[in-house]
Amino acid sequence: MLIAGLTSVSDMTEALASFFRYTISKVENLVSVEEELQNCETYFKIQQYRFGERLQLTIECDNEEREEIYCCRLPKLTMQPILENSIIHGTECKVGTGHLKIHLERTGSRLLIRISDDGVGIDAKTLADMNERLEKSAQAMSSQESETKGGIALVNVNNRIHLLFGEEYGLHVFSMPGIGTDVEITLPAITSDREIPNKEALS
Amino acid sequence: MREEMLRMERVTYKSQGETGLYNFSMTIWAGEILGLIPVNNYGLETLLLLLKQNLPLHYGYVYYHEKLINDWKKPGSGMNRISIIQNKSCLAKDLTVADNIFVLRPGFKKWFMQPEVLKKQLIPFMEDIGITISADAYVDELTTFEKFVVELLKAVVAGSRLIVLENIGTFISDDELVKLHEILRHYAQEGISFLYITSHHEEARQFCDRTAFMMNGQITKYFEVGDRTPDTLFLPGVADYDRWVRQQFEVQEEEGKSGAAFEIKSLYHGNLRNFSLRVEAGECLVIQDLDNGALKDLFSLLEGETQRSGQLLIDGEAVRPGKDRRLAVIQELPTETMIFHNMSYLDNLCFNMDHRFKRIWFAKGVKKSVAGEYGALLGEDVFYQKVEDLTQQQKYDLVYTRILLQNPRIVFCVQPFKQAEVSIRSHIWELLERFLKKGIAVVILAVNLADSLALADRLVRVKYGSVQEIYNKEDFIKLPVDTPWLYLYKEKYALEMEKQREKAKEK
Repeated sequence: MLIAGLTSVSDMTEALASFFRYTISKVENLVSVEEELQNCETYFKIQQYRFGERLQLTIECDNEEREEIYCCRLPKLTMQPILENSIIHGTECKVGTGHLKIHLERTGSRLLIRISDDGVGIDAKTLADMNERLEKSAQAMSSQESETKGGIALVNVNNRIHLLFGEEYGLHVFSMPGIGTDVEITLPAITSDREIPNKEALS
Repeated sequence: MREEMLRMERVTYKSQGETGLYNFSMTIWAGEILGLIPVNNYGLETLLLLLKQNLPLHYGYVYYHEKLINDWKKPGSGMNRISIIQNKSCLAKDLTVADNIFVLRPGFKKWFMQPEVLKKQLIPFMEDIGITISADAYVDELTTFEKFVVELLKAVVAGSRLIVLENIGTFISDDELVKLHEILRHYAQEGISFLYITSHHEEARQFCDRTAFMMNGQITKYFEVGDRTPDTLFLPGVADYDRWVRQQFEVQEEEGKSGAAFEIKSLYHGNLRNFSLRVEAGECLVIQDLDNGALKDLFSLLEGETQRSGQLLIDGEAVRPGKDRRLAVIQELPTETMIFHNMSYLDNLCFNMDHRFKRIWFAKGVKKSVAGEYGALLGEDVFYQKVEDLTQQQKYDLVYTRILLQNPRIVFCVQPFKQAEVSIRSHIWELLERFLKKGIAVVILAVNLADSLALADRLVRVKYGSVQEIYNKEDFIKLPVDTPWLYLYKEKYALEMEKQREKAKEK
């Protein structure tokens, strides 16, 4: 408990409760970036209980745009599964401290979220396959191949983005062995659920 | 709020059954200089084509200025206001600088040209970037760097907000590159974006805001300023190359050199002033032209032009380049410039042996013998192929083996690694190594060091037409620029340098 920085079991229990409460409640709704980031921080606290100082998380966002970005809406559980992937497949296998970064940026019409780790990275063939599955997301959901590492979470998040916002948005993975992995999430910059192109997908 | 200049979202492009780009995603921000490092050249040409023109996509989306300009469901059409600047100049040779910049741009509708007006219009652009080029100068009169600046201004005046620069470092010297970076930074601050394509991340990270590695038609990773960029060991497909370089590095230490194979004494020719040089048999010397003034003159001399004064000697005897087979030249891009499509493979391979066999063109027996001897090295099947059907590697084999058969005392290679992808570069090294092992001296003429440094025994840096600095191998770590393969020398010699510094301090 001391290694994790949590001073008591109650802190851990509270974090778990908060995480589960967020996860199971109203999955079909959109949430704000701020809420999603809070959930990521809660999840990270839980993981820190296991990894201690071996794991570090930074959230980067331009100070002047923070308020605008934090008000943007996105599907619930967009970032946390990817963060989880970064920890399990990237940082866990790494010797030394793992650094995770969530970088948020906004253009006139888009919200760009990049989740990076400096873990073991992905080899070129696996990376190409992964991005191919994301491109063919609808087919990949029924494919047997989606059981390979990092497959399900990314495809799931990608599919939900496609269903709600269209195929021009989604995920793309960049990686280099020994250097790390970046998952880039592209979303429309919307601040209200009324702006969703495909509202029926919410229900 | 940041503005996106270009976004390519999961673009797949196919043409005639071949996939040019596959699942390609790239973002360039307004005012950004993005370095693009192709690990192999797969997809690069397609990328440039798609940037210039909206061709039908197999899949994906392309946005320019945050507007959708090409979509796989509804293909766009027409050209984009994106300029591409490459080694081959797109300027009209018989027109002036002002004509090229203003008259040839899209949307110029005037019937009568007023040179004085064009001249006045050019002045603020030149003042902005601190360069002076006469508006009335014809393109033919300009230096390589000046032509490049004119192309850049042409792109800016034409309203291109994204400018692609492909392998600029191969035809611009280090000094000019510094000036160029200042110019690019100036225009980047005005919101123009640049895609800077180079083969070496050491060059890109000197001034690019981000660098992207491209492999097999995809961007694999971005690196921000300050991110740890890999040494070549981490680059996929280059691990073997790096291992091979390290092995060769050790081998070169063991082999000794003896005797001067080639000398230049007090040469005056073109821009060359009191230029002197000495190369030993089996030595690899790299001559780097810092201001792009000397290479052209050296090359014209090697082609057969007579020098104003000075001596060129091989084994102590005067030599007349162009007429003496003891001196060989491998030109830039030899697979394009030194292979003759109207000749057979064997003729291409053997014609430089005319000093050893007088009637080489008719000597079928000699050619057959050469084919038998070199079949294992070149491949048994190549001798019956048309030269235009050869792979890149086979073409390099052909040119370099031709020179090997010529058996000169010295070979001059002009920018041997230019436009060669990683796998070919290591092969070029092997070919150059064959010369060195045979005791043939190799002189590499380069504008930038690129891959030359790993093979070099000595480096001579030339400026204002004369030798400015000479570096031996152990002095390479003192080089003022970050150059590919420098880390090898730092690994090897840094410790010794540190010990020498400590000894000097103690004294």
